Order: sequence, then C-alpha cells, then structure tokens
Amino acid sequence: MLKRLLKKNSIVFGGSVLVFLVLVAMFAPWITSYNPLDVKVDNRLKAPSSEHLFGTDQLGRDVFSRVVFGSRISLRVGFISLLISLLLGSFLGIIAGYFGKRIDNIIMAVNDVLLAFPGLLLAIAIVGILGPGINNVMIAVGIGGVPDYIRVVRNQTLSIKNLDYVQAAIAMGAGRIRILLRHILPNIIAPIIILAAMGFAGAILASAALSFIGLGAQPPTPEWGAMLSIGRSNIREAWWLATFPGIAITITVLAINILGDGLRDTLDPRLKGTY
Amino acid sequence: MKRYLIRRIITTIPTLFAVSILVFSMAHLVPGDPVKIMLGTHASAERVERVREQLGLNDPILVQYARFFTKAVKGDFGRSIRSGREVFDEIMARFPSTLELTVFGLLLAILVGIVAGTLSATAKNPRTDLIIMLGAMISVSVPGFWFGLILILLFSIQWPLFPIAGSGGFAFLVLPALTLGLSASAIIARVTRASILEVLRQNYIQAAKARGLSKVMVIYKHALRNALIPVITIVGLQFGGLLSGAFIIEFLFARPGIGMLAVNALKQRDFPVIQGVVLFAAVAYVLVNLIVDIINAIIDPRIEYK
Repeated sequence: MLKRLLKKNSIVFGGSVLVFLVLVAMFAPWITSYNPLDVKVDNRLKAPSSEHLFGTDQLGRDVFSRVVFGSRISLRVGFISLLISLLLGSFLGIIAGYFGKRIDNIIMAVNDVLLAFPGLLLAIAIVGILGPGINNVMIAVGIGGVPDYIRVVRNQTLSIKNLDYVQAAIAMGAGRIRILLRHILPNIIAPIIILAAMGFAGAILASAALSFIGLGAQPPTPEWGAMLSIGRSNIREAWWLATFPGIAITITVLAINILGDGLRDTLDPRLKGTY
Repeated sequence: MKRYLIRRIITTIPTLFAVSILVFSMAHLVPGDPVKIMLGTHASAERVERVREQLGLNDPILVQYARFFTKAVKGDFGRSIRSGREVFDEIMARFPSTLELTVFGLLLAILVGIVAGTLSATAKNPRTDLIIMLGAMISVSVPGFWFGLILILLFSIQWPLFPIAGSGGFAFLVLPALTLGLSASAIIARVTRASILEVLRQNYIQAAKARGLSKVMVIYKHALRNALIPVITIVGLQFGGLLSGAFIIEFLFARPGIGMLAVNALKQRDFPVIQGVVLFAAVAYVLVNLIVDIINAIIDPRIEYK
C-alpha cells in the first residue's frame, strides 16, 4: 500500500511540502533571528531588505519571523479543528449508519439542520455563541465541518454493514463494538482520509478568514489571517504586509489539496478526476 | 412533477422550523449570562435587569421561543442592543448590497467556470487541460480575502483603475465580485469538466458523432445541455458559500452589507443582530436550494423518478 502511495507524484510532492512546513513550525526559533513579538517603533514599515527579509510591520516587528511562527498557529488550529470534525462526525456517522432506525433519523435530522447553514455561516454562528478568540474559532470551524463526515461515514457504513463478511461476523456472535471497530471502520477509512485531507485545507482557510475579520486570533498573536488584516489597514504604505502571509497560507493549503487529490486517486480510483 | 414539487416544498418546512429553534437557542447556549456579556462587566444591576426584561429572558423558555417564532415570521427580529434600531430594518437596508455582490460574484463564477470546464474537457491538447485544472487547484487554495488584497494592490494602488473600498456604482463591484467568485469558479470548472467527460461517453453522443455532426455541434447541442444538470446543482450549493463568503469580502472592501453588520455585531456581542442575520441568511439559503431543486426537476424530468 505504502509503495502504491509513494508512486504517486502528487502525494510525494504535497506530502514533502507539508512535512517541510511542519519542520518550519517546529524549528521556528532556530530559523528566525528576531522575536516575532518584539516591538521597535522606530523600525516601523520598513520594506523587505537583507536585514528584514519580508520587511517590518506597523509596530516594527519582523514580518519573516511572524510568518514563520505563524505556521505553528495555522497548522495547529487547522489540525485541531480537523480532529473535532473528524472524531465527532465519524462517530455520529458510523452510529447512524450501523444502528439505523430512530438513531439514524435523529442524527440525520440534526445534520440536515446544520447543512442549512452554508459555508462559514455555521462557524460564524458558533463564534457568535462562544465569543471571538482563537480557541473558539477552532471549535466553531470544527463543528462547522461535522456534517460532511456524518453524511459520508453514514453512507459508507450503510453499504458495508450488509456485506457477507459483516453478516458472518454477526452470525459468529461478535459484539457490536467489535464489529464497528474491527470490521466496519477499517473498510471506511479511505473515504475518511480523503475527506480529512480536504477538511484540513478548508479548516486552515476558514480559521484564517475568521482571524482576518477579527473574530479569531487576537493581537499580538502572529497568525496569518490576522497579519493580512494588518496588511489591509496599511495597504497603501506597505505591500509586503498584505503579500507574504497570504503566500504562506496558499502554499500550505495548495500542498494539502495536492496531497488530498493524490490520496483520493490512489485510495479510491473510482473518484479519479471527479470533484 | 406536481407531486415531487409539493413534496419538496413540504420538506423545507421542518428544516426552517429547526433552523429557527437553533438560532433561538444561540442566546441560551452562551456560557454565562448573555445580558452581562452584551452589556459588559461595568453595567449596573438595574440596567442588566431592564435589558433582561426588554428581551423577555425572564419568561419560561417555551414562551420565549413562541414569541421569537411568531415575531420572526412577521419580520420582527427585535432591536439592536447597541444602536436600538430594528434589526429587520437594518438587515433590509443592507441586504441589497450583499445580494448584488453575491449575484454578480456568482454570475462571474458561472461564466468563467463553465467556459474553463468545457475547454478543459474538450481540449485536444492535454496540456490545455492540465493548465486549466492546475489553475482551478490554485484558485481553491488561495484564500479569497488575500486574492482581494492582491487585486487592490494591483488595480487600486499600482494602476488605480478601481476604487479601493466602499460602495456605489459598478466600479465598486468589480474587485469584490472577482474576489468572491474565484473559488466558486474553480469548483464549477471542475464539476463541468467531470460532467462533460461523463456525458461524452454516452451512446447518444457516439450516435451524434456517427451521424457526422461537427464537434462544436456535438459539444454545444448534445453534451453541454445534459452536462449542465450537475452544474446547476453545484451552482445552487455555491450560492450559500458565496453568501457567507460575502461576510469576509464585505469587511475587506468596507462594503456596507449584512456581512459587515454581522461582523460588527459579533465583535460587540449584539445578540439580536447576530441572530437576525444568521436566521436571515440560513432561510435565504434554504429557499435558494428549494428553487434550485425545482429548476432541476423542470430541466430533467427523470429526477422525479429517482
């Protein structure tokens, strides 16, 4: 299996870029020569130079250091949001699909209501309840992603639970938990992985967008979306503030999307070329 | 057909009902006292009590919901805690601006998406297909608001062709609509491409080719028409995404729409306004989906039998 995955160029390329970004996040203090929070007002809005690779912001902070340290926040926020959607959505989906009947009806009814809030609106509504802040954004984006997992995992479980080998396991007296964990879960893991790759990219974009409008990371946190918001306020004087954090987001999301496409083509060849 | 339409319309009623319950619960799910959060820690006990009374938070929860629902149906979403103005009036004053942006963004996305998707699916040169699909991949990976910033840098500052921010005539709409439509156009392009490739494999296309019809005729007369059905569905779904995406784009271009209203209300924790906008947008989305399904049923009578 690993051999098959590594044969695919897009998986190797997307995966390498992602590993590189994780390394950048881990070794941020060794890569940068400035503290991302150090304010030097007399050094404000300096254009990119050999001293400050990406220039400085309105408080004289080094933008390169902030972009590098920002990778820690964006990757962490994206990953935790993803875990929330993945665990909650898969759990509800597998239960709905396996037990069916009333449980299925209730979970799917809740799901239909959540799907009535398009795109970011569900996350915005949850931030409305919990209040602005990066932790609340993780929860909001995480819950916002749950309906997709419920739908896919439920449908997969439904189609697998009536297959002969599952029925055989039931006939042999295997318990419900055993059937769910040993017989059903391993066989629906491929669509979950594909969805997770797409969801990771989406979660990074959504949390950056919420930070951009001021509902996520609060100053002075070096978060990419929040940095672009500063770039917007200083756009006439400092093009670099509105440029580099955006390139960082794009490279991260692009790498994850390329990886996701590769995984989809390899793990589920029937979906190749579709969206 | 009639039965399908009636059934489809009836199924939206429980959804709308549930949406109203969820939006109503928002203020009750807030950790802590919503009135104290709205007014801040310095508010006097008297003021807190007065606002609590004004919002009817002292009544039993079912009474509160019944009141919320009956008022919302009549378009009464209460008053803003900050400005004291009617929330519904505030939304109505700003909605045309949001709708204009969403519709224009969607039209651009449809145009670019369908043309790019068709070109990609029917290109003789595999490199054209690759370039278009690579462009689509990059377009869904670029954060919309950053694309907007780059457009401002290029077309408002470097070459001042369009205004940097605000609202007014057509010139104010171009950059925000381009920004908003970017990722939707990529998604529409991918769906169009996949759908055309699928349709081109069908027997009736082979038959049309065998009858000696030109390539253009086969693609536009036979393939595109049938390929557009999944595209219409995805366009409908994109409308919701664009509507909520407009919240971010309005902030970026300082356009006074309902997104801007919501963002300010979220920062000030003005619950009646937040609830009003969320309810309004969700209901709009549910209704648009209903319309899309009806259009689909009219275009493709097979849907009824599925």
